[in-house]
Amino acid sequence: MNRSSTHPLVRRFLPFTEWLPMLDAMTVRNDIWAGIAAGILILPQAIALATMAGLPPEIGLYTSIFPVIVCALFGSSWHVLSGPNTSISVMVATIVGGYASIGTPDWIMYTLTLTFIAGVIQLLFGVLKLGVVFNYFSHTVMVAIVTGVGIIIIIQQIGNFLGLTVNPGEPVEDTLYSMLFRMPEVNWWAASLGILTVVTGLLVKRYFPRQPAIIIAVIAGMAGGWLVDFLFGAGNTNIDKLGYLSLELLPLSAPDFSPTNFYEAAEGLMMGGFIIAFLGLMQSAVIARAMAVKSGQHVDIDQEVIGQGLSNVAGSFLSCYPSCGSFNRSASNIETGGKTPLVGIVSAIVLALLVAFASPVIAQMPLSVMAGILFLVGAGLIKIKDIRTLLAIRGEPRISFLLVAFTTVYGGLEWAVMLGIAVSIIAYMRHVSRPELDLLFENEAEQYMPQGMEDATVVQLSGSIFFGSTHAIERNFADLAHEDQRCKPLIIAGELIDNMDDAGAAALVQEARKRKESGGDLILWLRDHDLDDLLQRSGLTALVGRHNIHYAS
Amino acid sequence: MKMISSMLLLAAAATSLTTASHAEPLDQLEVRPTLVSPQVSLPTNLITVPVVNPGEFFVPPAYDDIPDDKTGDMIRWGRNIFVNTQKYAPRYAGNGLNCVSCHLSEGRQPFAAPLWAAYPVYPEARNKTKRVVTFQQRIQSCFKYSMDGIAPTVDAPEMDALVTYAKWLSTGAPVGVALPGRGFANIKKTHDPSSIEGEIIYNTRCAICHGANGEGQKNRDGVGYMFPPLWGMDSFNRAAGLNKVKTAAQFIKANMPLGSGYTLTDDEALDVAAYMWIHFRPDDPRASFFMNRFSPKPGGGN
Repeated sequence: MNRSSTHPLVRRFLPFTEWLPMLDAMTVRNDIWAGIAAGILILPQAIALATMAGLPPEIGLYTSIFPVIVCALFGSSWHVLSGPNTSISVMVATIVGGYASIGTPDWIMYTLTLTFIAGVIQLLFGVLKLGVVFNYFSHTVMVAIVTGVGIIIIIQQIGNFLGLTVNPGEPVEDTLYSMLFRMPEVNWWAASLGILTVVTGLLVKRYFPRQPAIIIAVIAGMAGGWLVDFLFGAGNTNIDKLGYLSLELLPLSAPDFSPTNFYEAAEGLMMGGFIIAFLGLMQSAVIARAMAVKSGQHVDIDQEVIGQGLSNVAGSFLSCYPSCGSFNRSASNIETGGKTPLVGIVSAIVLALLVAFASPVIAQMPLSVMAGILFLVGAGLIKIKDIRTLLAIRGEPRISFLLVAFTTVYGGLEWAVMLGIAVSIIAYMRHVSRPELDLLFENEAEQYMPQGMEDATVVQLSGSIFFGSTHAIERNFADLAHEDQRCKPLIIAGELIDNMDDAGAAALVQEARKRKESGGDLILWLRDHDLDDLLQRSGLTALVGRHNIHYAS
Repeated sequence: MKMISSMLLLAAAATSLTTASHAEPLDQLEVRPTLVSPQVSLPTNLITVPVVNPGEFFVPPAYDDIPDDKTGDMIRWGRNIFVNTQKYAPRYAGNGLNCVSCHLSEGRQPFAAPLWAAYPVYPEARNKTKRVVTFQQRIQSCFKYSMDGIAPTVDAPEMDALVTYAKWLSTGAPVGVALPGRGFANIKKTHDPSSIEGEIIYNTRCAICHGANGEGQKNRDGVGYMFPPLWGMDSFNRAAGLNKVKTAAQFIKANMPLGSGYTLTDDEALDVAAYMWIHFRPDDPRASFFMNRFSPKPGGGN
């Protein structure tokens, strides 16, 4: 791919100049078709996810229109489609729920402020080139959070699915248990439409995997709802329905930082903005990377982060709630053959037109059908195969998976994200702090022994020898001491040591001193002379003698 | 650097702008037909006028009494929905009416189903549903039948707002007491209503506002109605309370023509109601499509 055609500065601020020249008649026609498919696909999800965030469905639709366009123009990946996201929707409801009644104008105001804060934080991440941070986020934690969100969605929608009003914020098992007693109150008209939706979706996925299962399921559910009302009367079936949606061309809004409104919520919104920014970027980065692997395009992760940030900042002025890259939409975009971000722009326009002209039809969508879609989406988030693999691994991944998934379902998503960040850092630290220490025998050992030496303990030490890993090294040395009582020379084959700091050197000095006291010795093999200064400073060279330090090269 | 400075600009702009989605109060000075207080015309030999003594009807709190807190925000939002449903809850409105089209004077008018008389008596058993319904469920019926739309769920935010508004209007009203002014005025039926008589009365007294074909009169901006349509696709459906000839006559007697209530006799009111009833309006959602075609229209009897 020709990346040098434009000035780097132009490329940085107007990233779309890179793919605009690619548009020829063929690509444009191709992308328009892919865009139409993407625009139809997002409609049910946009409505359902906005409802989960406690927002009017219109906000979900705006979020599937404006941020998508901004991301298409300013993001780096050519295939990522952004828009409303399940985890973020749950998160928004959790954060704003502390300060306003659900769905009120106040709720919307706080959500817009939250969008702005999250966008600015994301922009900062992008400008400071911190996008690389998200590469370190543990895959296990990500799977755990997404699984937890899947469970939350399904539980939350049980009420809508059965045509009941359930108490919000109950523990999972309480909701399930109370359903047993409420079976007589269930509106079976609504429930059967929900079941029809889910079954259709599953059957299509199973037997026609190439067809858009969700759209077909929605059409089946809505057709069923229409038929039932036609035959029995809407006043008798009492199925809760979506209602008429009305979009404005330019739904101008603004985040509200006025003291009367912002002050009481400032702490929660700032914290929440950070968590949402992180949650959004985490998923966007993963998606952008996955799409890049599929398409072979070089993705600049910092540019992608800037695109996400810009889309959220712009979104807060256009009645949008926080958005991020959407995995299933991006994947289906690649499947339908989208080649440039033109797909995103077309999908936004198609969605707007669809709502404008099909509003009376969409208005009749039963809420149980919407719950059925969310069941499908939620079940799609619970990836049994991944989970089984993770649970099969003994130790760390299993523990962190269970911990984070449990926290997501019971403790709230925000704590799960924070715990996930902590777990990722701990896992990373544990990984680097555990230097490889292998005992060598026979021929392998003898090549390190100086001339004439008969018996010695030879260990190979590799990785980073720093303050975080000294503890592990010292413990290993102590284990070795059980074997040889420190009276044999210890040969450390350290050609593979990446780096060493003062604390690491001090650990070696300590071991050398103990060996000397009990009649042993310490011999060190190094790759080159890079560490000489450090060893000199720590006193190791003086202690073991210059002749006992050997160099491989 | 450029990016950071532009972000600061955005932040500054953000603080200075007001949020569009925030509940904005309706203009107090704007003249809406439903806000005109009824004038009682002089009694003649033919017309009996009930004497409205001061203190006879419950007086709900004034707009300026709305508290300045979160509850107040909710009350104001509920009032906005109530007065201009087409703008503030278009999601649930299926025709061109607002709540205030029937509940006159923002839901304060006695004998125009005032909210302050309704809120304190629910939950209550209704003849229509044959079961005890809560106030929320009662509002749902309004949306389903009178608004010919889609009912908000009982836990919908718009529902909360409407209930909060109704509760505020009933501040100080006794609970569980059938207050004077509740529902609609009493009416005595002395002959079978005649739609032919009704047409004459309609054309002389009603058509000037509601139009010769009952199409109502739109607002000047084309959104919503200044005078609601009485039949046709933009009016209430066959299951609404006002579809019943008797209920419509009760409403007409006390409130119509607007500002000149009690100027029609009971029989005249019944005749006009019958004339309204014979026209086309949306189907009864309680019956199937076929039942609507082939069975008699509801609401014609007593």
